[in-house]
Amino acid sequence: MLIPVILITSFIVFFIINLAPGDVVAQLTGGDATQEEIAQVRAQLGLDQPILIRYIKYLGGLLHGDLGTSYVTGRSVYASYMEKLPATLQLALASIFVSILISIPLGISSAVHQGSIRDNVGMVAALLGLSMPNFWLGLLLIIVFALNLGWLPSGGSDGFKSIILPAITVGTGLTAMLTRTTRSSMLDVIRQDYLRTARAKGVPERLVIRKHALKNALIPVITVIGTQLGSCLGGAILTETVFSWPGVGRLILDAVNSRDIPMVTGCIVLKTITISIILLIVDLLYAVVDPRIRAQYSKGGK
Amino acid sequence: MKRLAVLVFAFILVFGMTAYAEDTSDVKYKEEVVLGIRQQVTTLDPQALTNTVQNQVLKLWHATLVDLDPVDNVIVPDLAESWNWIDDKTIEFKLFENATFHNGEPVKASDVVFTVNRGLEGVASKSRMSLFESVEAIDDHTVRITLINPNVDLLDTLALPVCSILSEKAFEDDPEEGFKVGAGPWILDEFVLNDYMAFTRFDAYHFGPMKTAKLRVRYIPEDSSRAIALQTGEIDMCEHVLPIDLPLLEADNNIETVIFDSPNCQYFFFNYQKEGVPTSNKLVRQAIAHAINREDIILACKDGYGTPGKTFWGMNQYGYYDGMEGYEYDIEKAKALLAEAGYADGFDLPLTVISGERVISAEVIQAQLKEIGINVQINEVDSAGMTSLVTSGDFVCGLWGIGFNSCGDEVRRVYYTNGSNNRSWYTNPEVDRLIDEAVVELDDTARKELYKQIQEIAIDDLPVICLYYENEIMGCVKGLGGIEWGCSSANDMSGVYVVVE
Amino acid sequence: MTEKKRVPASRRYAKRSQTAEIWHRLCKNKGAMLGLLIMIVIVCIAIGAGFLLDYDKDVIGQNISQRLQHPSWAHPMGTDATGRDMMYRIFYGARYSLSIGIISVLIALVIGVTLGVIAGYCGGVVGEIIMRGSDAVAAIPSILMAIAIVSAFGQSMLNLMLAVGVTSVPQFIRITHAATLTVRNQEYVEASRCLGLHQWQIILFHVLPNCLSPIIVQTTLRVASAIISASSLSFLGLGVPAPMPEWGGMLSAGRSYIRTHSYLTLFPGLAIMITVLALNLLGDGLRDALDPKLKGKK
Repeated sequence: MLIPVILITSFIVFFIINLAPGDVVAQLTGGDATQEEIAQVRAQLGLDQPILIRYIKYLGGLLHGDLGTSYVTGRSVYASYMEKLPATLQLALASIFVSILISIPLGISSAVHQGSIRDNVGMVAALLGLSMPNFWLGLLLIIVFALNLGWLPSGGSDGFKSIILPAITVGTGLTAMLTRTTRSSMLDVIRQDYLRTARAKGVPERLVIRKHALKNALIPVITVIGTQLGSCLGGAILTETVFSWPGVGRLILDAVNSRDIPMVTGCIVLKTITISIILLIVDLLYAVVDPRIRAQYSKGGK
Repeated sequence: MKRLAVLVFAFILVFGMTAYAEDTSDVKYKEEVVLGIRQQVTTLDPQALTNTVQNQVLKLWHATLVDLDPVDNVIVPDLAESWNWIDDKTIEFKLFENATFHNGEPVKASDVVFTVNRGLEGVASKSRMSLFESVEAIDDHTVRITLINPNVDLLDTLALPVCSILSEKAFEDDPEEGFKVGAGPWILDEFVLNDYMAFTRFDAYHFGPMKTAKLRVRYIPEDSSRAIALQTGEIDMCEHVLPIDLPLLEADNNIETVIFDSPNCQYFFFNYQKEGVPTSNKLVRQAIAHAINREDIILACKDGYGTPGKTFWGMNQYGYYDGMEGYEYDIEKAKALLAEAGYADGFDLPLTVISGERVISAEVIQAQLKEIGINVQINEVDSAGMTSLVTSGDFVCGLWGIGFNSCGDEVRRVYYTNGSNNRSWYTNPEVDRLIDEAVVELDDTARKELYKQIQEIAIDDLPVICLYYENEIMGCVKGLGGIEWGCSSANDMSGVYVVVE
Repeated sequence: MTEKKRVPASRRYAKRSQTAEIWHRLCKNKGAMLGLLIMIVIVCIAIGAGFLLDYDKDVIGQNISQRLQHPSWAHPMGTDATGRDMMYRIFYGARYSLSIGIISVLIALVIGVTLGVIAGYCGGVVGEIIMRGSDAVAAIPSILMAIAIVSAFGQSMLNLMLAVGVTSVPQFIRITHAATLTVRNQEYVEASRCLGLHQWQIILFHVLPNCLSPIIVQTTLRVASAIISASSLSFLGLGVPAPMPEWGGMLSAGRSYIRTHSYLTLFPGLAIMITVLALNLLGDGLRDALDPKLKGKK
């Protein structure tokens, strides 16, 4: 299942980078080389060959699990990616955590008090993070919490304290969608007959919400969390730049900017694999929270 | 005038600190100094890549045969204790006997030979190493270099970090990354791409150990974030402070700022060889030069922190001459020149520019050229795209920047036919001849005269309009010293220290 | 609560009254009305700016001597680094920011929903191919996509819209797919299948209306985030070509001045925030109004 995705992705990436003007030689020579030298370097890297031949060669390496080495740094692509992955994973999980922490309570309270002031204020609050572009929010947070208050470091990846601001920056951007989904999904569930039954049985309202409603409302929420986690794993390029967070995003961005084809392709292949694993976990989570899907799995899965 | 004062202050700061530090023995230095840089170090191999950031960090753990004193602009010893020219083409270097690499091996003549041989394959080093006809080890500490042609700039070239001396033994131990071992003042402990580099003091450094025990170079790409990191004390030195942030740093009691003329020049260039466009007419190019108001560009892009340029030549480069008439801002003259060229009604001009800071220059130029009826279309590309458009000649005009080194032959890069940084595709047999003549001319006055001629011809042909030289602003924590602020294309940060009160 | 589930088929014969009913319900939602009002104002500003402002003089005309003026009566929102009036630029910028947001999402919506419904409804090999293809595209960072599209076709508004739009397609596919899956096996869909309706009729009249609410939630949020994506691309130097006044581009250009001239980021930032908020309030109201399950409530 994963293999065709990798094939398609690596081909698209290979092709796309080739489409963009310029190649890695510009970066390698620092713009300081004569025409002949450039041609020589190009030949050295095999860039003078047609793209299809280069891609097939690359695939050959890929089949042996060899993702190649970066043109620019001369280091193994796999090692470079794995070096940056922990920072990205940390930031992604921390951001999702921030987002869940805000969204779920906000979404539930909005749904329960649908149409009231609390609902409206809650939704506006959830939207604030999204409506501020990350780099603006990030800079404002740095100015307030690092410069003026001196509570947190302004950047870098050095211990728990340094992840707080980047996680808030990314996390609040995710809040809107998650709150919205929680709210709408809760609204759908709240109107269901079985909730009325539960209430009629005399189950306290809090329990009705927490046990019956929330659990049934979780599927779309998990879908959204999964997608968001996936997109976070691509790296939060802007946040990483503002906070000089050493994640995958900047690795890929720099590789794209220098047209470092093996690096870009390799990173994206690895990223695809990482995301597929995450999405698989999400699919499994569906089954955990929804007995209907679980039943489907046991029926349909041979 | 203000700038000059600050410059003087900077030097007093650096040298005053040095003197102060040497006099008192009980001064305490900060254990670890952190430097915040704005560009990314991508490779550690000195022979693979040369650019400003690379040059800056390479000096930390590598040493060259000779060094360039950025203040007096003279060549001083580094690994070579002394040198003497045997004839026009032959020079002999005597190496320090106590110089060692970080792996404990002494620096020997054979290492120099090894470095040159390896350098012949290096992307960045090839052009420098191919100046040599032969390099031979006379004995362990004597090396003789024979040139193909006389070259007055040889020592300046050898002082460039791309000519760092590598350890042969280190490459035997680790053929892949032997360049991690150098003979400079710092031992490279750790290099994390996109993040930081960590160094420890090299106690056996042949000029004696540095004052700081540990050094960390952090990469912080966003300018505002970097300046804030300096104010919060996360870094001790902030490279490239935005002029707009300068008052904020000046108001901060813990911070001192240093401003100096950087060798970086921002310029507007035409495609000299492109035919069938209005700008292939010299008069049109001159009209454009008259229509550009450099002061406004400096104001809009650098808040006034720049020096308008006349000639396209490094201000600290040998042979700099600005006695020519040049092109002062004069709309009427520009209009007259355009009319004379037959373009009184103006025309459309596509201007290619790398997205980012330079787009503001492009916008200002767009507005200025509109005054004389030229309709500029700004074509933004990224730097790889720009390089490819320019090397393929697929552009009409553009904006770019260049950092000039100190030697006179730097002109070869920018004006020689097919020179490596000749982005304007400029070609003039007369200029080529003069460049070739100048580099073998040993007489100082005659050589300067040749460079003057080159600049006069070029300013008339006008393949390039020099816009301005940047003023570089550095932010330092109070008590920081030991950095030689560069007039060459890189600052020498290896002596950095912070005095703790 | 008295819920009346109507037979879907009956809706087709009650089209006009249904639209009226939706409008009626929308009017009751104060948030949505506020959002709608703000959007009308912004659209009016965008249209009005085109008539009232001279692009060459007011919007991109520079005045270096007037640069970096703090807000005053002459320049209520101050002036930027080249002395252009920020208020005029923000008013005129509404044209660019809105069109980027709306058109790019329309592109993504059409492609994404079509593929998502097909994948969810048909399932099997077709669904698998679409979903894997979607995963493949989602795996490519949007910035890479944007660089490719922008550099291959040149830096322009249309290409920026394409770049922003294409990257949201997988999200639409996934959401629609998930929603379709939950709808697919409901009784009424099976019932209409039994009635012998065409595949496309079932999709159009029964599956699609019933997964509308998540799609609308997505769309409103995506229009807003498309405006923000455009600003991210500006941050990376891939935004609208200079000197066009697009809010994201202005915000990104102002960021070096954030500590000394905060109004340079404040006003474009507020413009973006208000638009995003209004779009979302409106979308929220629309969601409630369009939801077939809410029909008959109140």
